[in-house]
Amino acid sequence: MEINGVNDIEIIEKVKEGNSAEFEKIITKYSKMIYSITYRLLRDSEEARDLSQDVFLRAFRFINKYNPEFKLSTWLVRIAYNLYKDRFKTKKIHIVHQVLSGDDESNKNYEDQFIDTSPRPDEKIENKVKSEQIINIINRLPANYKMVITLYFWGDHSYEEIAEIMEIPVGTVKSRLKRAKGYLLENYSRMLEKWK
Amino acid sequence: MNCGEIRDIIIEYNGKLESAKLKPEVLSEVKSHLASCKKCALAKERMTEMTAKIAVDRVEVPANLAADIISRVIPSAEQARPKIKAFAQPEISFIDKLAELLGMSPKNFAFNMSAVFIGIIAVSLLLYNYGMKAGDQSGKIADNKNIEINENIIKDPVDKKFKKIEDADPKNVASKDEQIDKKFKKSIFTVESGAVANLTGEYKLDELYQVKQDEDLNINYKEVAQIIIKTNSKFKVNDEGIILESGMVSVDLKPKSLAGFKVVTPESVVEVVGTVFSVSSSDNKTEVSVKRGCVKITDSKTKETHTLNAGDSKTVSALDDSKIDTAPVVIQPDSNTPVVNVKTIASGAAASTSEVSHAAETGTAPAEIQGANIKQIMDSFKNENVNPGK
Repeated sequence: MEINGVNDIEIIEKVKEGNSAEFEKIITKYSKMIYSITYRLLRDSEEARDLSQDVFLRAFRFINKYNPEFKLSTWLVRIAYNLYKDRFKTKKIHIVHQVLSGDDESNKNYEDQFIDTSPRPDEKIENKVKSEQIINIINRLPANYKMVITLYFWGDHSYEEIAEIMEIPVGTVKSRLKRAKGYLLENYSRMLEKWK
Repeated sequence: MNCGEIRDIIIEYNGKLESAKLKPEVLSEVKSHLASCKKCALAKERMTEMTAKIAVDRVEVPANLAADIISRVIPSAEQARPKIKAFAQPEISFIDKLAELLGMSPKNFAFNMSAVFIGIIAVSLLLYNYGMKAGDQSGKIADNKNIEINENIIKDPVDKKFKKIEDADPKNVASKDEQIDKKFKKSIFTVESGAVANLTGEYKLDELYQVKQDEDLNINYKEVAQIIIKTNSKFKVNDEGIILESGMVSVDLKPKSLAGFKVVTPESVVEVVGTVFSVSSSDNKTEVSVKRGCVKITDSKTKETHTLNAGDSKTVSALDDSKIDTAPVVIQPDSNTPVVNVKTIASGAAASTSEVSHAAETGTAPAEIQGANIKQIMDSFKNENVNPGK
């Protein structure tokens, strides 16, 4: 929580007092982390850059609403998630809502739930293709599942932090993560079966 | 454990059962299942592989990302800031400046300013209230100092009206306003065009009234004149005031209080010149007697004027046969109070000038004035002091 020996909260206090230049320190520290998340959510560098900018703009505008009880990184990611959801709604990204619409953990038949409609890749290096396919599978997840997967695998956030970011209970985070990973495993397995 | 349960464990720990925080017996059971179930073993293998591939996924962060974001975010932020500053700062700085000049903190300054503001409002209200009263007083003073009597006639009703509204029930002021106005108009008592006073009771316009037998109608006019309509005197009320038809009016004026005070009869106009005068009148002629001071008589038809001094009397007839009597009839030269007697003598009336004047001075009843329908008038009169008749 320190930037060059200065606490985030101290910087924020200075920004609140009108010292806009202090906000540069926050951008410098957290821009890469925010970009990596926005990029993984969007898989488009320009959009990820724009979204990152929007994150910091909104953070600056609502800096007075920042609650110091939470980590600044958590607050910034939450802003990113909310902006992403807005964008997600606007662009109507088509994903498999029908199979991950609920949080019911009793439904364990993943093979019946997930249907991979993606085209089979041809003549590509196996590992690269596999990685791309995994990313594609992730991209087909609903926004709230994709966010959980993104924060879990790449965000280095705990269940509690993910819960704070997404403003959902920890139990919901766990159940969503389990379902999302089950979905990925099933689709990845299906993809590999096709390749044989 | 069945395949579903094993798969849940595989998914939860990303296929890394070795690092899973599982109880030894559970871990042993899972391993045993994986050894016997190819499908679950394959799932474990794929889960591990997939997780590893996800973990190595790298994002190429643009080299100038932070600078780029700063270059876009900070100017936007700076643009947003001045709007707030431009609106908020001048106020704060102005107040701070004033507070600093007065040597107080902004909070104290604001408190003091509020107190001063409230004080100003309170003083303004007091001054306004005082101004209203002062205006009222000045109006009265102006009335008393008025040289033109006719102005008194105009102003006096306003005073009376104002007073009546004050006395009225506030809830009914609006609804009774018109009624009060009418009553007021009918209650205006004027000794001709000169004096205006308020009579008790209601009077119908242009109806003839007569004062009851053995009673006088006393009227105070602006605290400067005591007007007495003597017993059996007949008068009408109209918008101009009260016209004395017959009988006698005695006007008692305070010295120098009502210069220009007039008593008008059908035959003449009697006007105060100095401090005191006295007059009397009849249907066909008017007798004026001056007890103290000096009056001016103007004949209504010939416009001829005569001045009467203390002790003088004059008769003005409808036939314009006016003459100055050298021997005054009513005079009481020793009195300090100016008294004016106006007597209207009905045709065939037995009352003489001397009798009327005597009555005015002594308070005894004058000789009866013979009116055509006095009884009828008296019987139908509603007021305690005045009988109506026509």
